[in-house]
Amino acid sequence: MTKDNNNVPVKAENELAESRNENAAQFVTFYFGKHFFGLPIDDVIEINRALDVTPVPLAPSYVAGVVNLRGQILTAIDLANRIGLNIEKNEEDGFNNVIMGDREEPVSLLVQSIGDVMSVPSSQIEPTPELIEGVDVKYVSHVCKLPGQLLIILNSNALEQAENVNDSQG
Amino acid sequence: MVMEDDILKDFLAESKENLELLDQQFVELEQEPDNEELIKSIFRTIHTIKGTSGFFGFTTLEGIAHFAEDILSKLRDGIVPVNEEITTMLLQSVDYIKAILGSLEQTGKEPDDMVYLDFIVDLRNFAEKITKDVQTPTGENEDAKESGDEESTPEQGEGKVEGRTSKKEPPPTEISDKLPEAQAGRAAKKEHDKKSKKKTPSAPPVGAHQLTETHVRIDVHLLDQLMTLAGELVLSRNRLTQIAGQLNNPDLMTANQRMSLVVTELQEQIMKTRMQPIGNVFNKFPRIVRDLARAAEKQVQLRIEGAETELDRSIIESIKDPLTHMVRNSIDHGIELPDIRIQRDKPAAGILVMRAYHEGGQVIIEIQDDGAGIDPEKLKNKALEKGILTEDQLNSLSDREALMLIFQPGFSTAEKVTNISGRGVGMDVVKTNIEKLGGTVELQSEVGHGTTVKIKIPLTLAIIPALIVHSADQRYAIPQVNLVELVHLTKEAVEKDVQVIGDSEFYRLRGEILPLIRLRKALKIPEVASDKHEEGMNVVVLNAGDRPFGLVVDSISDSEEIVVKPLGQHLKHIRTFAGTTLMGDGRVALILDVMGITSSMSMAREEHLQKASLVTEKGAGEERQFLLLCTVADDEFFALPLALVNRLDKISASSIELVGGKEVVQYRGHSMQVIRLENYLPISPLPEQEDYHLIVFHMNGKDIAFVVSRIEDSLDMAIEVEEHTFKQEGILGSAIIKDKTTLFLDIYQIIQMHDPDFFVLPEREDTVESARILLAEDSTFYRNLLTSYLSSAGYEVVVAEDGQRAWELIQEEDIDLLVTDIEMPNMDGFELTKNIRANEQLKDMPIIAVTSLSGEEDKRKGLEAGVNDYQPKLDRDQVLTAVHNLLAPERLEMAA
Repeated sequence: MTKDNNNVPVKAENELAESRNENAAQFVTFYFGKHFFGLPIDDVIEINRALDVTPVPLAPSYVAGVVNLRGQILTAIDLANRIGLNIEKNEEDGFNNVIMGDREEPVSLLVQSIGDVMSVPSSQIEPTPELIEGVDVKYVSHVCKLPGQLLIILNSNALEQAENVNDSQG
Repeated sequence: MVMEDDILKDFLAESKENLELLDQQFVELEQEPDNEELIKSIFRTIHTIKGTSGFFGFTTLEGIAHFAEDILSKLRDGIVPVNEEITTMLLQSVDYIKAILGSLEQTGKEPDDMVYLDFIVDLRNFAEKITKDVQTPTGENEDAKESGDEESTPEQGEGKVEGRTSKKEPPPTEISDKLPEAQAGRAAKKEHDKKSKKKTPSAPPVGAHQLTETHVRIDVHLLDQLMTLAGELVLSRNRLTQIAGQLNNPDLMTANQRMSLVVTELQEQIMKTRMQPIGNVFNKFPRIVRDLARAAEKQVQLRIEGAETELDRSIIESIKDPLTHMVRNSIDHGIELPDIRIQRDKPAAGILVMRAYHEGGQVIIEIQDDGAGIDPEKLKNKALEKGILTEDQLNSLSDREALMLIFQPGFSTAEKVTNISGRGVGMDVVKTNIEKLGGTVELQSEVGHGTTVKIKIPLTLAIIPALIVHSADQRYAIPQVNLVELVHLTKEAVEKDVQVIGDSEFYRLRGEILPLIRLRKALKIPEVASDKHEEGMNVVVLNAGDRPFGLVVDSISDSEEIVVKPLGQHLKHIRTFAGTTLMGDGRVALILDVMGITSSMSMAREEHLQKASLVTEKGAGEERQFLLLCTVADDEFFALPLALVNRLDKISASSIELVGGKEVVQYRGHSMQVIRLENYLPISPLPEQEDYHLIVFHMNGKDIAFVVSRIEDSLDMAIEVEEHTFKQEGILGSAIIKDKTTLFLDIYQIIQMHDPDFFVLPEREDTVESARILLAEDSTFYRNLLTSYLSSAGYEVVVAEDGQRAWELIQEEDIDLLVTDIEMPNMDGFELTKNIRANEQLKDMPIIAVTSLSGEEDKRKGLEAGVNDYQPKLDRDQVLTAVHNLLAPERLEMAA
């Protein structure tokens, strides 16, 4: 799990960034399989390539475990599992950690690979369609149609929210 | 005395701070002489010092404070305007006060110096003088009315004029001399300027007793941060220790060892900065108790013990509310009204004790009252009424468990809810709050004698010692407080002493049945076939409240100091974990919550309880036992205490041989008799099977076994049997377990029916045991069991169903020896023993206490009460040996 993903793929979507005006929003983007996701830059605290994930037995299935971020212990959320993505995961590849949420109790979102920080004009941001293939729209706040690709903007609050706590002790 | 010292310390620290403030305030006052608030604040400070010094009997200090206050009161009331002269005098008073405080701090006494007395006289004169200055020419007249008149009229208009005039007037020489000196003195103090002392004989001899700064106010957050940093340091140290161990470099090891010591010390000291005496909370209670007692029209005497016991600040804050709640409960419901208490031969005033002490790295807080106690039956009825539990569940509850009902949410037994408290409203909250702190609550109560609530809480929450164990390639930390011992079982020991019954495993640890929980199972990690205990078993024996249990882990590594970090919101609901910690290598390990693990186990037990409905008699026996359930033919269930069973085994039908009219099997290198129950009990015979189960007993140095067709299950439950339905030799009674009528086997009787000579000890054959034994035991099951084996040993047994009855019988009948249970209604075993020992005729009676659990605490108590021996009641051999030994001297006497 410690293998670093040194080469973060950088997509050349910079022409969009050119059109930056005061009504543009910035997103941290990342990939999971063929899906392209974004989180508002204000919701992201930092990006960390490889943190050891300690699994937590009895935890809800969307929790991959806990990670140590410089002495602070964060819950690692398996993004694919959380939003219902059905993806063959190769544990060997490791994950990247997108640390997000409020500073009191941030969470680490495990994603496959990290993309660029993108600036998108507000005019291009559209409401969530009723259905996005393979993704639970509960966790989606907006979408943005880019040339040849759909940027799914995630709702960090929904991602962070603890699932209904019914005792998983069973 | 200790208390007084503490108060003095507090007083000194507080006064010092206030005095520092005073200097500043006086300066401000000079700038805005009309600031009433400022004068009032100064007045209050001086007033407090005066009051407290009066309390301690520091006359000089009191004197100075008194006159300073006198002057201030005039300022406050506007009789005299503020001027430089007055300010100077007051500042000087402050200096003197500081000097006296400094002396108090260093020597505990006021300085023995005439200078101070002189100053009092000066101050007094000055106070009088300024009054006179503003008085009408009649001067001396201090009449309040007159001065009041003077004050109201001239004050408004002339007040300021007066002030100015007095400024213009050349101040009295004495004072003008002092003015610069006092200021110089203050400034020079820090430099130990002796000159100023010489020049001004009337200035306080500051050099002698300097008011040193020994207390600093620190922001709590800073302390918390320090604590976190210390935690990080501990982690780094752990990591370094690991590396040093790996590198095996002696220099590095030495250096690391040295650093380790310092880090430990540092951590302890930082921890100490957060420690506060529990007295800070306890001290609030005399008032609370007084008010509550008055409101409830009761008399309550509060005793506080161990107020100096120190606890982490954060814990102190969080226990205040739970404590208040429990004290309320004690006063409102525990302690009776004075006339009722008198009727019950108790002093009219109830005694409430709040006690704190350290015990094994934990702090124990007890709230004890000598009130009415809590009646478990009442609680049960209430639970039934509220629908919290069903009747069947209640019947299987022991008294102790019934008492714990009080901690159920929404449980209130108060017949009327008073404005002070409705019992139970919040007892669940109390428990939750204490448990949040990593503590436990226990309740002991005796009807008519009072209730004790015992809270155990950790000293600190931040850094705890823990044992690191491994399971499924992950590390887990177990808080050391819960740890009892570590046991490694070899492969052979596992085969021999670990029994698998149904889904549960048990290990016999020094004769006690220890339920085993596999950590993998508790964590729902699938068991891999190769993990089967090929190399034995590592058992961590843990204590979680009432019963110890063994946690089976893959391997055990070191003990470490760990820093507790909470789990995030997604995970904190998992009761199996108490938090997380960082290991030396920077990875995270989960901290196990021992309580959480057992509660998941007891959930399983509750399921059993729901299935189990016992036919009971009144006067419930509260002893729990693990029972083994087995069948001979289908649908005929038998139960016996698991503790009596030595082993469970399986044999093939063909291995049973008939030797000399008795059936035997070759077992572990010798032949062992096996008993078919149908030969002695009117039951269906053992069906033809390929394999049979053996229940092996080891008694009297020999093995003997029952043959049954199936082992059904094991249950942990309170045994209460109905003895009349199946009156039959070999049967102790019956009960409904899991909807099935189950017969309790009288193992001793069955064995004796099978082999009358089985229990005869070779060396005892000649001595015919003939003695009358009184057996006091409230549980029918145990009464029958004990009677059975005592009479099979040849004794005549007289039975009593409680201590009260035993006490009557022992006085009426001719009894040679008493065998008594400890926990009994009406009169318990301790009391019975005390009564006997106090009786002139009976005091030499040999007494054996028997119990279902062998708690060290009970044993100690029993021996203190005066019992001769203390034995587990299920252990026939030990009880009989004890009886035999205690009767031996008597036989000798008789022979002589």
